[in-house]
Amino acid sequence: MILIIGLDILLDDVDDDSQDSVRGMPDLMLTQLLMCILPLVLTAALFRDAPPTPPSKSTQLKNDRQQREHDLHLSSTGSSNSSSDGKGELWSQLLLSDDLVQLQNNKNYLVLFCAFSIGVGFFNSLMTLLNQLIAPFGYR
Amino acid sequence: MDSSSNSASMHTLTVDREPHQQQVAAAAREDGDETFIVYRYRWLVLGLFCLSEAANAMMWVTFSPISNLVQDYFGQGSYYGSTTSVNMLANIFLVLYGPGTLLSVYCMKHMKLKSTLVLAGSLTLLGALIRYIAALNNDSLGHGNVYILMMIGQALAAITQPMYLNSPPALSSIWFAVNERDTATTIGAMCSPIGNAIGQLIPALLVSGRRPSGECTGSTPCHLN
Repeated sequence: MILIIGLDILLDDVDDDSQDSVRGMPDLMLTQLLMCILPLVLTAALFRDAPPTPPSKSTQLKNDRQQREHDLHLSSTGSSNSSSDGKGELWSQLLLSDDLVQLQNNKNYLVLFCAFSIGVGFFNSLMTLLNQLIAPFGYR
Repeated sequence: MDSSSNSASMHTLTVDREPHQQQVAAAAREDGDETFIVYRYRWLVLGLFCLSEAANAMMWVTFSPISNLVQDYFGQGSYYGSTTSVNMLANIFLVLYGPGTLLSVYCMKHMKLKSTLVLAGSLTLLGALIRYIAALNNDSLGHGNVYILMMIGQALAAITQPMYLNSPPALSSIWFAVNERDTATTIGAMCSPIGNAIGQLIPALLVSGRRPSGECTGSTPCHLN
């Protein structure tokens, strides 16, 4: 908060030459730019992909399986795969087709899916339209 | 990964064999003959993820809390200043959620988690930069070009949003023990609404209009003008 107020004071001269009726748009954009730089720099510097020792048996098994699949994939790419096969495989990977077919038969999942869809839909539309909903009542 | 699987099959411990001496083992878990370690570093990883996600979520609602001012900014009554056009600056995040999900699945399959997050953060940053340049050159560019540049900036941030929203389960399964995963996933997922909340607050503090305040209240609503 202090950072924002400080920025506002520092950058007050930026938009004084603008003739528009709305002030502060460059300040807003610069503030958000700076707030995007900070996490990116920290992530690039400090983030680690995985711990040296896995935290649980299931993670270790998953790592091993992925390693095996990776090796298998590396050994098979050179020999037989044509480009069209690769494309079909890519699309089935992207669309998670096996998982989606399994999920359609899972009743609990479908109930959760409907409930979450409604909730997330309401949240998103409220988040976007909040100002327009309350503006007629004098909140600006 | 090879060394750990070999040692697991031979029933030996795999503690501190790798050269990450600065990482402190917070808890060691005995499971049969194998040892699994939960590092304290995981909270820093989760915190970094939350920061990035909040920054991305903040970009989404930039124009929503000040939509009437943005309408003035693009010219009230013109095509770019209409309610629909201004709402589309936020709705582009929902429109690009599908393509972004495909991109995120592809990235998570073929890249490590850190590369994915750095790529997503870079695209978000690029979008923010484009919006800043557009806002700085508002007088010379004209309303239409500024709107299009703002939309491009929003779209760049929007295409990376699923990378953040789909990552928490992967992150918690990589770093957290089984009994902590729900907590970690919840924290990771909750940072998007928190980022939205911060994003609702900041624009109202920084952007102001020159209209007299009494003009639009009460019986003459602004959004009908």
